[in-house]
Amino acid sequence: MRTENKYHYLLYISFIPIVINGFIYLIIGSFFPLLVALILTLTLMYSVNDNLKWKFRAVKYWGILLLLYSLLRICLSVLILIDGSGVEAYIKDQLNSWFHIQTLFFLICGWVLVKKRRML
Amino acid sequence: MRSILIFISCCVSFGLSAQHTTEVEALQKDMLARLTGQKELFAGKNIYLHQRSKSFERELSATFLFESLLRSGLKSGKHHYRKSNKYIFLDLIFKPVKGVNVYGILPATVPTEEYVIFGAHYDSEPGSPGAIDNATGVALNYAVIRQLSKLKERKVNFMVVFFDQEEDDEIGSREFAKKLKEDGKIVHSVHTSDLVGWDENGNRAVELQSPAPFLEKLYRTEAAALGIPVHITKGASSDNRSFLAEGFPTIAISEEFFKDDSTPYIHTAEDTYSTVDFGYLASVTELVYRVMKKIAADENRE
Repeated sequence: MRTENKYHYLLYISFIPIVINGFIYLIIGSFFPLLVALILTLTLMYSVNDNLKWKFRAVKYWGILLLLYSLLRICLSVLILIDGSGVEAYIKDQLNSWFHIQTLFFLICGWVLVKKRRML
Repeated sequence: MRSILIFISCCVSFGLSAQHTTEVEALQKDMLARLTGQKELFAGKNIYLHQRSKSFERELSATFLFESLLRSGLKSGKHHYRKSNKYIFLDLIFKPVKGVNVYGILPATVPTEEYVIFGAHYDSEPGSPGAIDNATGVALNYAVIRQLSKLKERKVNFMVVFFDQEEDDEIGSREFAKKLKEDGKIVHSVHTSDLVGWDENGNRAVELQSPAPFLEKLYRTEAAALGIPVHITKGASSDNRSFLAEGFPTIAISEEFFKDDSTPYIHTAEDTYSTVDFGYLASVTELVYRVMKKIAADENRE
């Protein structure tokens, strides 16, 4: 029987913001973010439920992806902070504390999932 | 006796005209003061706006403009929009673009489905109070719709619109132009105004950007009657671009932007209330009002 531990929950929680973002865009008629979210999450879910070797590998890749995603967000924030000329005001407006909390969340999730993948 | 009557009549009309100009100026000064943080935005609420760029600042401005239109007795509304980012990959990182255009409708006094749309953007660049760019445009259009509402006869519906996010690639007006098209509105013409508060050389001149030929004729005639020099420029650099793209007959009114008699403080923290030439603003307002009055009277319609 499969037992769920805190790392399983962390893995599931890590999907939530990306899937929610996908649905937000779907409401306004854009399929792209949801399509990306579904491809990623379904691939991962399929792999996690397959054999152990594939499970560890899939979680590792997902963790790396989250780390890269959070690094991209950090880089964008820093670049806009250094020289925001030509960047739309509504983009700058979004670089608030909530944006940075989300970035931190992805960074921590990615790091923990890579490090603790064998605990899953 | 006749000359005395003419003299009295001149004095009365001059007096009325002066009073009218004073009223318009007072109205525009109040609106500009509130939009640029000189006065509190809503009476008694202690809110001062020093820019109209962040989401909450634009929302506050939109509410203020909506309430101003309502108080003027117009059927008013807010056009909320949400859309994807300019580049698709940004949708994976940022939230959708959202904003709100504010509009007021002054119905015709006879049955007609035809609309004259006129408006200006109300947002400003980050860090700029946006007095000339473009609280002046907002004040111009607000004064014009109030004057139009006093006319006994209007043979066309008028819609005044305050656009959001012009400083971000005219997103607000683009969404509004699309909506007009989708709703199948019959549009006589679209008049946008941006930067109408600077006249260092004192010649009261205006620039008309890419006007539809019948609108150019109309503006030239009224400008000549008021002694206002007119320059025609090509291209589109503001909200007029959105309406031209949808194929509406369009004109954009501004100070002499391309003739180098335009505010040097554009997009800076110095674009403040104190730099606005209110006499010039009143002069351009009178020009636009006269054009609208002509259209309302069904003259020079095409």
